[in-house]
Amino acid sequence: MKKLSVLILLIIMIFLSSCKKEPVIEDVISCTDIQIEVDGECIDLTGQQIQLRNVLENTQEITNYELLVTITENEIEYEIMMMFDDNKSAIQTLNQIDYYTDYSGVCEHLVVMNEVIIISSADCNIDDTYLFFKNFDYTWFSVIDGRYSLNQENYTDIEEFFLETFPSSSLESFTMSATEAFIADMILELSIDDEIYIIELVISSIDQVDLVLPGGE
Amino acid sequence: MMKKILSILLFFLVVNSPNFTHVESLFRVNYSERTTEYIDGVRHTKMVAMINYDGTETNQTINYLGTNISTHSDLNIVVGDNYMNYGWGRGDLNTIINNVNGRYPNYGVIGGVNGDFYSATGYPVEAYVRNFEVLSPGLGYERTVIGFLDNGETVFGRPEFTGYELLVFNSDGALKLNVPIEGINMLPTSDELITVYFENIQELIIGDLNKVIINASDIKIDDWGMIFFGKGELNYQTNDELLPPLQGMVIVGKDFNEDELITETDYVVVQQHIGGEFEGVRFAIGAWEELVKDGVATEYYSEGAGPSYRHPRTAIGIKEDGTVFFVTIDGRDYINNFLGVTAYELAEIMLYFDAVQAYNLDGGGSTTMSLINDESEYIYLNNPSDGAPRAVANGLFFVKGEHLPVLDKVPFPDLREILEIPTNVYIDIEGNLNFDGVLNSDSYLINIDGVDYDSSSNQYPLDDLPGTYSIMIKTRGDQLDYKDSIYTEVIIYTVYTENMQKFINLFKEYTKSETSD
Repeated sequence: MKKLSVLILLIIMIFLSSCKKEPVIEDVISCTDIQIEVDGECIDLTGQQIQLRNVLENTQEITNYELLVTITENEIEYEIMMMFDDNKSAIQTLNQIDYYTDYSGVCEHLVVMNEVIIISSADCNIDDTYLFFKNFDYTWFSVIDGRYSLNQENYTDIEEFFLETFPSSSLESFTMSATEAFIADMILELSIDDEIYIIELVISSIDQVDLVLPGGE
Repeated sequence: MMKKILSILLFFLVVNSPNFTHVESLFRVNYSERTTEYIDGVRHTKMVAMINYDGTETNQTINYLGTNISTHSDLNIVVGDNYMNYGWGRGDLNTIINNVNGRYPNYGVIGGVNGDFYSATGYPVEAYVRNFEVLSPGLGYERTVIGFLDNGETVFGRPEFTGYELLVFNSDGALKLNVPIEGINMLPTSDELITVYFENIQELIIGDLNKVIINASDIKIDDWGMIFFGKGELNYQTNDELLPPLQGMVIVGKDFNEDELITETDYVVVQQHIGGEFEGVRFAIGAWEELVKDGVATEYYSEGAGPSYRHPRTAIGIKEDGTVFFVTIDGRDYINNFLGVTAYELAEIMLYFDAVQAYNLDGGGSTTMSLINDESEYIYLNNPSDGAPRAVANGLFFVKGEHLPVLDKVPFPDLREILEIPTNVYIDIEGNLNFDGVLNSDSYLINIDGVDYDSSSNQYPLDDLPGTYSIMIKTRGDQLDYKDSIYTEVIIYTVYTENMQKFINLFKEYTKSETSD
């Protein structure tokens, strides 16, 4: 009798262990590309949001443009001009022009100062942190007085760009304007050790830059 | 036992008295206030004190400014003024200080005092030498002159003036020619001699003598038209007769400059030659009464600026170790009873400060002392008796900065090879100026905003504060076989603030990231 009970118990256990749970089928939300999911619901994007999303996506794709940065420190303005021509770029400051090239993974850095050219190899690795406005998300902004204003909860997203260089910095304000297709300009105030720096970035000459390297290509 | 205790108590009382008393047989200083500060190695002490001279007690405000220029090559004494080109002039001490700072980019004034006595136009009574240029040999009153040599030595006494000389310098400031001038406003008496005409005598200089016409950048003639100084550049030369041009000089000699030693890039100086112990002084200024000689106060003044009367006074003293110091004493303050000192009392005060030599400078309303503060402003330390600083003729100043070197005399004709200018000039990421070395160079001269810096190598650290600078470089030769190159073109270089440089580096990273696929 005992042996029989154990056998029955064993059979029952084998039977139970071979049972599979029926998968729980959850409801999958699939929003359209003019909607956004919020708390499990698809909310229609506004026209402005769609517009901004397109602007940011377009801007993310540009590889040929000029970027002029004007930084105001203690009421003195300094300009930094950057030019991008696909796999060639240049950054011009008061003293020199730095060129960067990437030909199939071979990266070089050229410095031109007082007509002297210094060439060195460069690190090809991309650090996304430095891509700044190319990482913007349209949900970070609201339209205020005709400009896109960064939402307070997203200030840390912008601060990330500056944090490694200025660990004690904090963003005070950020606004942006756009053309039909691209970001036009950005104006931000950055506090560094109780001093406010005003930084203005202007994007222009999209697909019009023809960068000639010093000493020829 | 009581006696011993009292003696010990008395001893401690005297030694620990809060007002230290300088005890001399005739003179005592008992100060109620005394402060001392050091600015860039120059000591300033101010005392409000009761002085007792031979039983007479008076209140005095005394300011002392001094440093040892013989042991610090970057601390020097210069003279300064507010003289116009083609004339003289006066200015208050801070105006003169601004002139000194503007004239010499290699010096920065720390502080100083008024100097010599002067006429209403600002003509100094005694000799005045400014950066080797003898602007005046003095009016012949035979007073004391104080001179400062490049090695830090101070000389004092009566210089020897041995007649006029013509000096010709090239554009680098190297001497090309030094010849005696026979006379002023006269024709030379022989073919080998030269004379110089100034504008104050408008008479025709006859032909058949070579005349080198100089456009003068500065002419100094004394109030009586008897003493001359001139400086300028070549305009042209001729054998024709002519009148001396206004703001010009004419060097006259039978065949003078036919070899064209003087060129358009040179400058010439016409001045009295200063010699004796004053040979080679870079700066010199007049003084009057000798207050202290060999550590002993003058007992009797045969002349002087009212030596027995109380006035505000200024004096210069030299210590045994070479320290030079200036002293001002306030005076003519009848409300607060600061009447000033006699020359006798001033001598004792100079001894109090350990002078072995001391001289009285101009005093009265001219007495002024100024010193730079932490905000780089010049502040008057004394209370000028006019109620405001008086416009004076000149002054003496302690400066921070090295003298510019005196260049070796250049040969004529100059057959030395001119060196190439440095090329491939750039500034690296560490802020070092770099350029290619030049064959046969001795050293390099880096000129930053008008100030020259010597460099033995073709790399030079730019330890500059944030700002924008103009930089030029020239190659220096040994001056025997090789002469200096000209300067490179100006390079404008900006030193960013630390944060701005960080922004630039950040955007370089952006640029680099954007470039790579």
